[in-house]
Amino acid sequence: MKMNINLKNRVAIVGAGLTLFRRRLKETPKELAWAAAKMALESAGLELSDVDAVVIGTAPDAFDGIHMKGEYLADGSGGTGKPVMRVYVGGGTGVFTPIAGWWHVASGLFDVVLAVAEEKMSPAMPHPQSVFAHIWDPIIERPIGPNLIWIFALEMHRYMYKYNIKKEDIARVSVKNKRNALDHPAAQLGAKITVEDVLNSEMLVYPVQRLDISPVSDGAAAVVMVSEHIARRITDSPVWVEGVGWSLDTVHWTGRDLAYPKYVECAARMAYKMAGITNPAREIDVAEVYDPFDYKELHHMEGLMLARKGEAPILTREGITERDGDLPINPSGGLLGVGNPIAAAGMMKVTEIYWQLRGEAGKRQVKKPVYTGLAQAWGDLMQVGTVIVLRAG
Amino acid sequence: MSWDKSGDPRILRRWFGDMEVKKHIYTMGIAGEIFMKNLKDKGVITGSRCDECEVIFVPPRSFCEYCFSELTVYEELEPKGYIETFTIVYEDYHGERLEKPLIIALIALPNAVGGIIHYIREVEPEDVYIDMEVEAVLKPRDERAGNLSDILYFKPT
Ligand SMILES: [Zn+2]
Repeated sequence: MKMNINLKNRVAIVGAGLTLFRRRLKETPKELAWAAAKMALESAGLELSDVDAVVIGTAPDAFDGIHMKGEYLADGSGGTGKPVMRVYVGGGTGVFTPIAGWWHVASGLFDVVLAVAEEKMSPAMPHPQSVFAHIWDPIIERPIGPNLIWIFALEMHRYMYKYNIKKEDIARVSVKNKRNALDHPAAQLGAKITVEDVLNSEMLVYPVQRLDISPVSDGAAAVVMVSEHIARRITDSPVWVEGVGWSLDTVHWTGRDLAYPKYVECAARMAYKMAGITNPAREIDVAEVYDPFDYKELHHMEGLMLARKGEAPILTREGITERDGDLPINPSGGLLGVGNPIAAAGMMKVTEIYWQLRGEAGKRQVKKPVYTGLAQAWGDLMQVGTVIVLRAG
Repeated sequence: MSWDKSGDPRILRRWFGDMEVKKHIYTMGIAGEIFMKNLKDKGVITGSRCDECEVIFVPPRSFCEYCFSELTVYEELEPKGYIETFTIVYEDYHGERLEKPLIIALIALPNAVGGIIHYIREVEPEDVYIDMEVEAVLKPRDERAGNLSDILYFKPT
């Protein structure tokens, strides 16, 4: 049964835009934001003057190297002279941005909202990883010199140990996603690789190897979100936002179950309840789940209850998560293939589900007919889950 | 509560740290590259025009924030304008008195949106005024590198 909440407006996505994802782009961050926002507005057949409010999502200021990056991005995001807010939940930002856009419209405050996500990771030197050196407790963790890859490696190892998962089954995710990305015009790292290529790639931080990881990227993405009466007027195929959810697990990552992303389950339960979904594995037709590392796709499928604990690798091995499978996962190519400009990468997932549900994904269109889709991201100190459920109109 | 105790750092256990990325590499962007290239090669200030909104942006922008049009028409302007507003700096970041006060101005160009923030020299602080006409003093052409310091300062015309 659907959640009984009193919403002023039903909310639809009616346009989407995406820049190229690349290691280093010439455009400034605001020029990237503008390119995505402009494309989204044009695809909706709307003008900037139709936009009532703007939501901007972007992760740490230290990537682009500009403090108060939300304000910096406002002109490129169409925010001049309008109500503007920036939202930021680390890597979860890309899906949280349309969630914030949703409540702007659902509340009845606004009819047309432009939601824009941008990240330019290339400026930070010597490597964007150095930004992550400062997310840890300064006294009891930083002296050991942790970075995100270490921490992922610890989590991945625990996940593999608990469910007896072989590295080759994890590698299949990377193979699938990089292959899917070959059909994505924005993709940075589309490639035809084999499981052996992944297993033979450079060992970085055991058990994480070079081809298990998404790249460093610059890019931007945007969607236009409108109230029902506007949606009915401008399109025959709105994509409705049926459910949203977000949740934060304990900030003490050492105290979490590293083999299971509880934070994603909490966020998913909230979104499913709102959307009236009781059996996600059966009712979700296609999903874009957050895959900065190949094992995270599996981890998150389980958190989303699209697979039972420890069984996502089996679905992957059986081809169920391929584009022509029963439950296509990351038909875009995901972060592993399309690229990982943090906030823009999460929003890219939302644009993919939007295009899939409208049947506009071109060569990436999944084989089965799709009606309900989901996009998910994850971030902060690896404990925030953000989930959005979309349905074709 | 700890707030009733001393905040004297010498008697607290301390831990030193920082939150800095070593450095950043910024791209100048589509419009920024044109601005810097024209400054270096031609000694001009470049603006970009939005015909829809009938404005010229200085420095140039690749899109119009008012109507969202892509801007592709760049105009080369003489490096002169007038003082929109100014301030006089007497102390540095450490509170030390400057030997010579520094005049900082927003220099507007005729009919343009925006302007250039720069130093005003060759005039005493008491003689500067709003609306004063000023022009850029540039480095010699062969010393220009395509950055803002190719303009040394502005001076009264
Ligand atoms: Zn304009």
